[in-house]
Amino acid sequence: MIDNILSMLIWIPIISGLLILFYNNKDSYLNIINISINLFVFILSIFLLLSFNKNISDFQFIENFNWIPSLNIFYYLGVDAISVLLIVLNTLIFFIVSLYNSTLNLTKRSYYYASFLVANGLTIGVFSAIDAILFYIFFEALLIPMFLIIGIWGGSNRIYATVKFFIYTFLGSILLLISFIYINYKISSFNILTIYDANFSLKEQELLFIAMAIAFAIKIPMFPFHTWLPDAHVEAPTSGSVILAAILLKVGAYGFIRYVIPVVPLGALSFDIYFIILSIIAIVYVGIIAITQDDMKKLIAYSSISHMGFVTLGFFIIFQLFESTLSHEDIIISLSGSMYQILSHGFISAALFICVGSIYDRYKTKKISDLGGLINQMPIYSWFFVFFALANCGLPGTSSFVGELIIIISSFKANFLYAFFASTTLIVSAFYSLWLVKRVIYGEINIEGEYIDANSLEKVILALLAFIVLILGIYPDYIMIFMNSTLENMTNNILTKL
Amino acid sequence: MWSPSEIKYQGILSFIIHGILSPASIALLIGYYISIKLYKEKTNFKFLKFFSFKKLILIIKSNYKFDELFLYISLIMKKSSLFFSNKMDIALIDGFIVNGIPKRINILSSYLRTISSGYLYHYAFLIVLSLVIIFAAILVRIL
Repeated sequence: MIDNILSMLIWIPIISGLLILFYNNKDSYLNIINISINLFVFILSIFLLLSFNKNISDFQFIENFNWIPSLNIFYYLGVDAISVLLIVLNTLIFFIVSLYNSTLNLTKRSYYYASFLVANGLTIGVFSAIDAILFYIFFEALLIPMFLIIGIWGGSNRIYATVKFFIYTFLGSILLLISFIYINYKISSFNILTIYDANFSLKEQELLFIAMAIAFAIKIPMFPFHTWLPDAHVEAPTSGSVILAAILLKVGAYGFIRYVIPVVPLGALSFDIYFIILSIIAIVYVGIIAITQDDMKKLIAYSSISHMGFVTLGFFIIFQLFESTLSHEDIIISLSGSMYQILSHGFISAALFICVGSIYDRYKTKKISDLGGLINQMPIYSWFFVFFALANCGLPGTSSFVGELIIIISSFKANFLYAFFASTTLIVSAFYSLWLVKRVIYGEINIEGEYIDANSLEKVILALLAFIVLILGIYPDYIMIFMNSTLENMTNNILTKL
Repeated sequence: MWSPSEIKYQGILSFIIHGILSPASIALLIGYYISIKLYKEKTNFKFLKFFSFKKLILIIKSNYKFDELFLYISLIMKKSSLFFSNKMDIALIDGFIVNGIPKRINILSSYLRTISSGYLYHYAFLIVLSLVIIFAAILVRIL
């Protein structure tokens, strides 16, 4: 086992990102260096995955150091199964993005790469921090590279999109910081393990829940805090959109499962019905909005919000399951479904944004009405596009089917109406995804000029993502068994507090 | 309760006879006979005059009206999508709340800025007015 593997995973990309800032933009080795660092971090995360003992539910690979003793803040790192899976998703997506970035013609290339490397390290920090303030620092610092990526390399309306994105998420972060300060005031600790054992009164739990839930609901984003995401996606460069959809949204979901539900379960129980309704609105309402979007990125952004609605639905129906079935197993299955949906959406949304990015790089348009008949000129690219569009609908055999099916089954056990409304996504998502395919891939050729099919690197990237989506869809057991012990422990903690 | 695996046929012959004598097979044979008579030999069956198949034919020809239903649902979905996108997301959430609140604060602050006129008697008047309001509030609470 490598000592301090988590620190290495966090600091290698951050430090190399800062060093790359001073690198010559025109140097041909810059791409190789960037890809190598991301590949190394990915391999390190695979090593973490393989070394992780899935039968132990406690945090592993612990690193503890008294960072600011006067403020009771520790540099305390550790991972459980949930964190490990998210770290692997993170490093893989950043590696894929580094490959994709090497094909682009960019200004200030070294700054661009540096922003992504720093974001990579900070996200790993978010997923491995056990100290609440350390988590908050990584959580907040992640805004800086994202702000720069969208603000510098974004589209024409990038300033509006970045300011909106920053204000929205910053507003939520303030509430999160206040919650952590209050928790420390009550129990004199920022350590998440101590916080799990703490008993807050119902009133305290309700207030803490509202503050923390708003912070993470903005990040996911949940209805009605979702309007920053379509704007940010439309203006962000392709790689930025990939990171936003595949990684940044997952930070919000991770916050719910790590800091909200296990810390203040009584608060969550008091408000679960509202969050279930908001999740269902996100699934149905936002899915319907996606139908008439003319910008492909906006359509996929709305689709992401709709799919993330499943994640929050899976999180909050556990309280209804607890009241209706009293089954320990049902709660674990529901949480597993949400986690599966998080991973699945990470890969599918990344692939879809890369598909859109490839079109934009060639024809400088993301508008659906400008495109058409791509199957005639770009058959390989079209094959991948259709495959990921179908995976986005939840086609059986793909990863999204597993996650959505588990959550629909769980919600059926909680209440038939939840299951009914959640199931409508199968119709709505099929509607917007297939209509997108019909207009972009089939029909008459709208763009004149030379069509260039997917190049070798794009084929490798898309084939890799397609392979993962299929493997996760056909054999979900590995992930399920991997998470089981951690989720069982988490469920026990929640149930003892209820 | 029985299950299909429990059904045992005594040999291949009885299995075939059982299959041929099923209602579906008999219906198929009758249908085949009628269609040969109707379309090949142009036989005029008198009993068919009692039945009118026009509506049935129309429904079958129009794919059970499935295309119409699909187009109707599509239209509703598109209309709802446009309504939600324009009226809810753009107008209400973004227009009224997200961008609307800063806009109103801006209008209010622009108006309040005009109070800072630079004239001393304006400030003195505002101080006196504020004091009157505060004392009035206190008096109301006491009385």
